[in-house]
Amino acid sequence: MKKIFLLSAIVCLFSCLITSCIKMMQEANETEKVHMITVSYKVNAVTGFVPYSGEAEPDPSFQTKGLEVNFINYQEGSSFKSVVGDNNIVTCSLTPGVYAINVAGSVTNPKGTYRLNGSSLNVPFTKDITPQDVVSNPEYTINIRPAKVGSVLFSEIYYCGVAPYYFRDQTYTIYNNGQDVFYLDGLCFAQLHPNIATTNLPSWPEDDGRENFVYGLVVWQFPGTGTEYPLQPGEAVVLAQEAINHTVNNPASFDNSMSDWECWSGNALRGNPDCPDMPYIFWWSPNKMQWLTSVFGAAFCLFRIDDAVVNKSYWEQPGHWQRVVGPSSTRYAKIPADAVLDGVELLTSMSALNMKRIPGFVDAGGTSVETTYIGKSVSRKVIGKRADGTPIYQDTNNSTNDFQVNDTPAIRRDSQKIPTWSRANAL
Amino acid sequence: MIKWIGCLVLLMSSCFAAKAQTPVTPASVDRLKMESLWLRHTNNVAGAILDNPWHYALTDFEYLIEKGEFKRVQSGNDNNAFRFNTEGGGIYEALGGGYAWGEFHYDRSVLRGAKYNASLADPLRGMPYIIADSNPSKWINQNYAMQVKLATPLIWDQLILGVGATYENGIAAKQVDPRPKVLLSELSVNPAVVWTKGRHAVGADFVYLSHREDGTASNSNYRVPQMGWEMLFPGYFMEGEISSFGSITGLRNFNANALGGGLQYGYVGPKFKIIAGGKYRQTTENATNSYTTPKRIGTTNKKEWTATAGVQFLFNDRNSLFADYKYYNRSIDGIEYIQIYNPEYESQEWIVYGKYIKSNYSTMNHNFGLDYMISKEGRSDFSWKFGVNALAEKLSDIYYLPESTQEVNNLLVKAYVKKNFAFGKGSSLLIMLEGFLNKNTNAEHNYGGYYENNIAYTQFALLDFYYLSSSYNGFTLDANYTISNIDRKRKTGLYVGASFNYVNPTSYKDYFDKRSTLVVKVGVAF
Repeated sequence: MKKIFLLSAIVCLFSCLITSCIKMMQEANETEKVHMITVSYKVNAVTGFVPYSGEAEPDPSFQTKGLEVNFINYQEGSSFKSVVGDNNIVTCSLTPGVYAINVAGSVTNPKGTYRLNGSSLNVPFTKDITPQDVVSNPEYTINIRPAKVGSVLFSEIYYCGVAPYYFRDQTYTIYNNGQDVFYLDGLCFAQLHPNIATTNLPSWPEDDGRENFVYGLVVWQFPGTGTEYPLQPGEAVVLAQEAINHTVNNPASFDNSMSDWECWSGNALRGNPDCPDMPYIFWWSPNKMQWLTSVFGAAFCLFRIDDAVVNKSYWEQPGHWQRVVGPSSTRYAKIPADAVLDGVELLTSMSALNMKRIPGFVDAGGTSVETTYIGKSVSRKVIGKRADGTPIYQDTNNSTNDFQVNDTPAIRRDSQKIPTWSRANAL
Repeated sequence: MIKWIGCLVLLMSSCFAAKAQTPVTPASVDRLKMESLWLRHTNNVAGAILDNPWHYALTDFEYLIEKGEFKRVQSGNDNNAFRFNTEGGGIYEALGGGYAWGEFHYDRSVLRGAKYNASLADPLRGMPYIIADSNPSKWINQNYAMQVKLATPLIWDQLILGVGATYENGIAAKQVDPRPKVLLSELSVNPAVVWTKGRHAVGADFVYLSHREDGTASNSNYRVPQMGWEMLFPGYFMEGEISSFGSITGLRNFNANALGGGLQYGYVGPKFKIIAGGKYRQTTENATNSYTTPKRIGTTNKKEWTATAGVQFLFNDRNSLFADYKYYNRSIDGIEYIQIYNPEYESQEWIVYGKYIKSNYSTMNHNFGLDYMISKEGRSDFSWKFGVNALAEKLSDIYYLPESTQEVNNLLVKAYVKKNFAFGKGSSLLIMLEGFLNKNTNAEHNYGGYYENNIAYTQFALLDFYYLSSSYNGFTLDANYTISNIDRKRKTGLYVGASFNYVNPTSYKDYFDKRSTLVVKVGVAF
């Protein structure tokens, strides 16, 4: 009896093995050889809320015809370019794969000059998509958000730290690249979620729609009542995690003690008492040791919500924060897309562009110093000079193109000017 | 466990030795294997009964030293290996004339200067979906392999059943970041049947094989980032940092299954024996990068066709001529997946949207050999053996979009002479000298990918093409000295041997230099 049972068990086990083996082989045998496919996609410029389905009414005042569209396959390293044609439809012949669709361009209308940049990540193309398919199926639509060409932007970010494992010298420079004075009072500076570039992107509730918001981990706010901190064209302000002469702690670091504000999180043993602290107005779970952003590269944006009083209590109101779908109770600041003035996505390396985690209207690309603790910074490329010698920086809303990597960080690089009210004037 | 099984095989071999034809020497075992046409040309274990092999057992220890630059990029350029081998068996009277045979091998190799592999114990086994890095690395590999073959005696005077099985277990550890510890295991079973009537015999066999291999390339020094490539095809890859935060996760998990079978026909005439057969095997192997949320990195679908024919002409009791032909066709389709990670809390998995055959690796061989053997009456070994062998090989690889192709045709010709000096009944010296010449007759390489300046193309794919399309010549000198009857029962022999192989490339001399291999061994024969 035992022998029969043993024999039956062996026969059953062997049958299961053979069956699963045959299924695996059949799947492989049924695979077809790769061939070129032709895909069409609709490019809409939208200014209102985009529901989760992606079905949004395009804004007729922003035509996308003529914009350049780049289909990028990061896994293969390939890209295919085309131009948006009639009915806002772009058609391109490419190899099947997972693509990022990048749209770039600008339009000028009576309201001003707007960038029409946008991107849609992780789009799988496996078959032909005709223009007729596009008309009948909103799935094949990319919505881009017009962004007014602004003046205030990140001109330099030093985030990677320096060996051995020194990260207290992280520094951020914000610059007026426009022609008019910009008042920093009330401007918000956010570190976005997720903190590190990843393919495992967070899942937000469907009620938030599609790319209507970016989500902040920490939001700092410039003080002032409205006109206390003017930033003239060509002037820059410097923010630091800790504003001290770091060469005392680590000779390979640098001196950022002349920073205008410290992003101080409450550690009494840390910081420069002579440097004013910039208050954070949102931080669900503050790290009282320090405000350390990822040395692999975080993502940041500058924003201002015009029609609201933004302070600590603003972020406590329902609808102004959000949670990731799942059991986590962590809250994130819900930042409306049209409030974003500038954003930069920092990556672990440029090969991680397929791990981009913030929408294309914030930054259509990404930049990186490539590795950690090497004492390098990223800064914008100079494309011109004003009469006073201050730089004019490249700003196409695509940090892949706009930024360069520097061997060492600098305070007010490229002859940026110091605001008259800055404490740096007295140092 | 496997070490104990290996020892058991050794004991079995010793047991068979009690029935061995004496004296057992490397030369007599060489002759035995030459004359066993079913075992030499087919996978049909049941055919062993028709070969009617006498008992033998060999056990030896080997030490290998290999140096030189004429090698595949992923191979080491300064290698050492220690090996323990034992094999033995034959027709066993206690089983009523059944056949039992087994072998066990242990191999510990140290490879130095190996590049562009951070995933596999054997990067040349036909699996392209690996992680590669450019650091010259030392690998320490250990491998245990065993095989058994069993066949019944003739049932009803016309039927023979047989079964073969192999089991292999290995560990391979790279010694430089990014460093994986690769574990592998492989199991195969091979049932077979032969029906014989008079001088004719027909046979069939079936094979199932399962291969598992996995390892994670990780860094012991986190302060030095390790860049690498997620390979798809030579010259096609995704470059990135290999780490848990980087774009390339270091884990590779390979899972292969194979099914196949063969048909054989044999005929034994008064003055000749002939065997002909064909076999087919399909092996499908998946490569993924995670145990919990696996992303399908790629699949290989390998199809192998083999046709063989072998004949032995018996001119008289002393002289035999062997003629062999083998046709081999291997096609490996490389399948890549279009997939996106679904981060939604309830699912969190990679969703496959499509899959395509993106590449193909094809190999076709024609191998023809002639061997002439002169033996002395009443001895189980031979006194002279001469042979020539010609191998025409065609390699064709293609990546379909964007298209890259590679074609290599080689003709390898070998000629050897073996002389077995018998010094009475007590000792013998077997000397073999072989010369070989490889002539490349065609080599084309057209790269249409996106990374023609990347070192993973210039130093890996292109250099490997140069190696594969090289012309070269060389020789092997092999000597084995055997002292027989060293025990009281006069059944055991002791042998020592040395083999020296020298290869000299005659093309691409800017890239390659000579390579030489020395193997020394000491063993006992029962």
